[in-house]
Amino acid sequence: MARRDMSRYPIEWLFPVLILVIFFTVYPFGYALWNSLFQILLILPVKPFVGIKNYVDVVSSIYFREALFNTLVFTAITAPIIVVIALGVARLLLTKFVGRSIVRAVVLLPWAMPGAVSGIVWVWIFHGRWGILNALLVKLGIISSYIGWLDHPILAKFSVMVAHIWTQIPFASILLMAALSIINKEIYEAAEVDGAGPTRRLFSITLPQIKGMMTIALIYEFIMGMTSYDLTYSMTGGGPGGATTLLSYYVWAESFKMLQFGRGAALGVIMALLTLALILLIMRAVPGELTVKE
Amino acid sequence: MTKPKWYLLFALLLLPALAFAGGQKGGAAAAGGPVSLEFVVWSYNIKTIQDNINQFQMAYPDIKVNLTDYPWTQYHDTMVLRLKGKTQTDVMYNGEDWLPEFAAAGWVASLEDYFPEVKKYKDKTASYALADMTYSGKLYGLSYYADLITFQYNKKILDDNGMTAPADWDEVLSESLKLKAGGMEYPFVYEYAANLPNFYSAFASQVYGRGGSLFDDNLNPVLNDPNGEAFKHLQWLQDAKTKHDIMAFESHETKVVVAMNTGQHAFTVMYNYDLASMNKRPQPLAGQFDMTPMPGADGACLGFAKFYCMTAQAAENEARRNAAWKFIEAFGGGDYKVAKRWAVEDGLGFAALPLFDDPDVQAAFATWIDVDKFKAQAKLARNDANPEWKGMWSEFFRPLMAKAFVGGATVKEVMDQGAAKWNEYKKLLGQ
Amino acid sequence: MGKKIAIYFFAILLFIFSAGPVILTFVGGIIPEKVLLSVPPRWFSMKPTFSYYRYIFTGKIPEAFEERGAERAMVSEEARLIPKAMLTSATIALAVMGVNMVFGSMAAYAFARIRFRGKSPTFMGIIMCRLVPASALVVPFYLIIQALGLLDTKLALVMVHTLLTLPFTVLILTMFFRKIPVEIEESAVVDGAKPLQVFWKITLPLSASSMVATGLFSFMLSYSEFMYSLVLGGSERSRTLPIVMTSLIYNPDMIWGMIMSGVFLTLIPSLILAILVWKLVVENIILGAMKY
Repeated sequence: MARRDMSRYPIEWLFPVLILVIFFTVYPFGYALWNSLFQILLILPVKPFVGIKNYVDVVSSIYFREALFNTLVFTAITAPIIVVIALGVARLLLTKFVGRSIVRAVVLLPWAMPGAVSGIVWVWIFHGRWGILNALLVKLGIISSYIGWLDHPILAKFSVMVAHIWTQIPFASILLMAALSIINKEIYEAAEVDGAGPTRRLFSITLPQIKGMMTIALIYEFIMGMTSYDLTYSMTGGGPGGATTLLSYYVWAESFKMLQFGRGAALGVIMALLTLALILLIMRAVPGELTVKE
Repeated sequence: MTKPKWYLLFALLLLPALAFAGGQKGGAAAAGGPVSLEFVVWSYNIKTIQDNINQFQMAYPDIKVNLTDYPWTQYHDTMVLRLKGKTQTDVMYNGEDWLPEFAAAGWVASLEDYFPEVKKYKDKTASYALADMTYSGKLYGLSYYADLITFQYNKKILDDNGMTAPADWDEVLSESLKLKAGGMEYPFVYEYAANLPNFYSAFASQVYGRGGSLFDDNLNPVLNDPNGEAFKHLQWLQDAKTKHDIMAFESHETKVVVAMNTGQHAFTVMYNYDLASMNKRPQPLAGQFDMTPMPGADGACLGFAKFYCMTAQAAENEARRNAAWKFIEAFGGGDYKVAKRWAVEDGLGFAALPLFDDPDVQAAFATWIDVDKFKAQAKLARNDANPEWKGMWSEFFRPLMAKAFVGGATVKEVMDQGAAKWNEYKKLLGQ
Repeated sequence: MGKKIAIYFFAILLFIFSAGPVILTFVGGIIPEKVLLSVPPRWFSMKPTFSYYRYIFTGKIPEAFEERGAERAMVSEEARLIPKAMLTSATIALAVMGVNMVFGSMAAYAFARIRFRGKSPTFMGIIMCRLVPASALVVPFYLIIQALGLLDTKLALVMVHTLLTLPFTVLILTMFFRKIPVEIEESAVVDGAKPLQVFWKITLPLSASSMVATGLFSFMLSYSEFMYSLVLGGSERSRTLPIVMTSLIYNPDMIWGMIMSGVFLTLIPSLILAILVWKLVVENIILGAMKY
């Protein structure tokens, strides 16, 4: 059945998903794209067609460059780190050891916290004057006075990245655990017989086998990084001085705070294109796994 | 072959969950039945609000009030969406910086136009609050609460160090340096949140203390005048952070309250009701804090009002707008019973002049603030300029100010850009 | 031997990293305010108290708040909304999880095993709808939900959350189903099984771990979602936990300890689900380990 000739469109398998997607995608995307071509300032009655002016304005606006830089750096650094750590976590959680089930349950905890809530916990950890991390480091004798983790631009960037990574590890780990668990053990046994050491096994067997899932995890983390907002802003408010501003904030702010819906839509489209470009880059680097041929 | 029973389990979980999840909002009131009012607020003490509503409904059985609430931090943005989407909204909380926007967009209606009797409340209302509720010369609402942005400090720390409350910003600096030399790393804790509107309002309040302004009476910018108080004060703030290093940042007023209560700071500038939060048990240092007139030659500060407002949607329907007026008057006017409750129970400020002399209010306030100083400060309070583009301009200006604080831009650059943008908006939108 | 030490070392490190902040919130909810944020921390100089948890569930005002005389204590009322919001969030998340697993797996099966024209564009179309940031689509989503009369309902959130999660679910499950050796299914077909039977009895059990992964993924995303819960909500009927927690965190009457109690509580449904699910996964991997 799997290799039969071309079937008719399997509508009964796809129907619910298609209905939801079409219903909620065609109109909203069209709406956003359409709006991005008009100057829509809510307190003015007129909505002139301005073509790509919104796009030009957004890209040349005072916040764009820094927010773009911050967002790209944030995404490009956290996504690979998350996937690498998750691979290690997945491997660890598949080996037997006492207390494994506890660690497995615990690993999922960061997943359940909404961004703003994780933010406040991580503020408590990183705070420069009454933070737990500082207290711990002082107690261990590693530093002698508190560090303002959230007060210096570079340190603030570091802190929000650590918090973000913490929230994303659970999902990536589960994904890779699932991927690892279906690898046929016989391949490993054969390799061991041939004398392949652990590193060799990792690079020649494991990684190729889970290439597809790692790619998916990477893409997902890229999307999460590009659209991240709650966690960072509840930790730093975008500060200090703009060091942790993110593009996702401005998509919302342009529309709902600056009341310029045309520009907000344009920025949304720009971000979609950016994300698409990043994803295509990833898929080019890992060919074959993600395309679905007829 | 083991049967995958647990898939059945999940499918069974799905069905009842969907059953619970469904259901539409209760149908609109039947014709001839009670008028239903949609009242939208932000999520502060909903229980108290609902209690006030219940009392109102008992007094007016032919009006049914449905309460909807959104978190304060997202209130404005969600209301923009809600009003733009024309969801039925009749009475809503509104604020001084949003009124011109919403009025220009045609979403709110003036009370004065439909119910001229509202004018009788004008001379019982604090002037800054009145100005905030007025647009194009017409009164749009009655006050929910009104408050000030004041200079607050830890009285005990100052007493222990033989200092008195600072009278101007030079003294704030010298006292801070003295405290710093004595071991306090950052005597001034500042609510540094470029993404919040009050980051700008607090700055304006401090400028008013100096006797300065950011815009003149014709709405022309004076903030970029190098000899003006606004310019000088942003410079003061930049120096405080980058040169003297006496300043610590917190990203929200709630964290400032916590920070002050660790005893590591002496001064701050915040909404006045935060003083009540700082001074109430079980805060570790409850009782040690007080306010003092805003440092500077004038001693004035910023005052603002949040108020009940009728929407244009409600105004279109006679039954709804009559009900809306009864509701707004009961909550924001009358004998000010509701405003008094907020003041006594939660420390919220008020716009109603009679309440300043109310003994219950004074007794309640005396537990966390020096009532005489509060009254004196309120007398000097000024409202901010709020044209239609204020909100949008503020969104633009605040990140620039934030940069100036940390030395990422010069004060001149920031002020010039701010003035230029203001003029740009004024040209586009001003009449 | 060295290997065992390394394993336990990393396990402990992982435990501290993942659970550390959570333990912090638990501790933060029971240490009295007076010593909670002192520098340096003096947590154990006062007795722990469960009064915040009691307040959240029963409304009994913690002793620490009590004022002398007639003054009313200023306690954040928002905290009392947590239990109901938790239930609402869990209900919505369960529904989202169910829809994802049932319909997502069906769609994935079609993409993995059935050859048909239009597969690639359909697949790409489903995946691509997650490219545009959700914040850019708020207005049209709001208008659609309003037109359906579903503002302020749990159903609206189930629909929107499903939309946010389905593309990933379909992507992941398609990948997984393709990895299952085709011979197993083909031999079942030779034995006379129909496509639905193959799907139900062979494909699903063999991909248990990925079903668990996507199920949990959709639950967690729905449970912690904020933006659409905000704009499509508005009253207790549909108020979810992230909304209540946000109000709590930014409330000036907030007490740090109270917030931490709330935060810790929010984790409980997910913790329960995680434990339940892991038990199933363990059983399944042992069963599945017969082959792999």
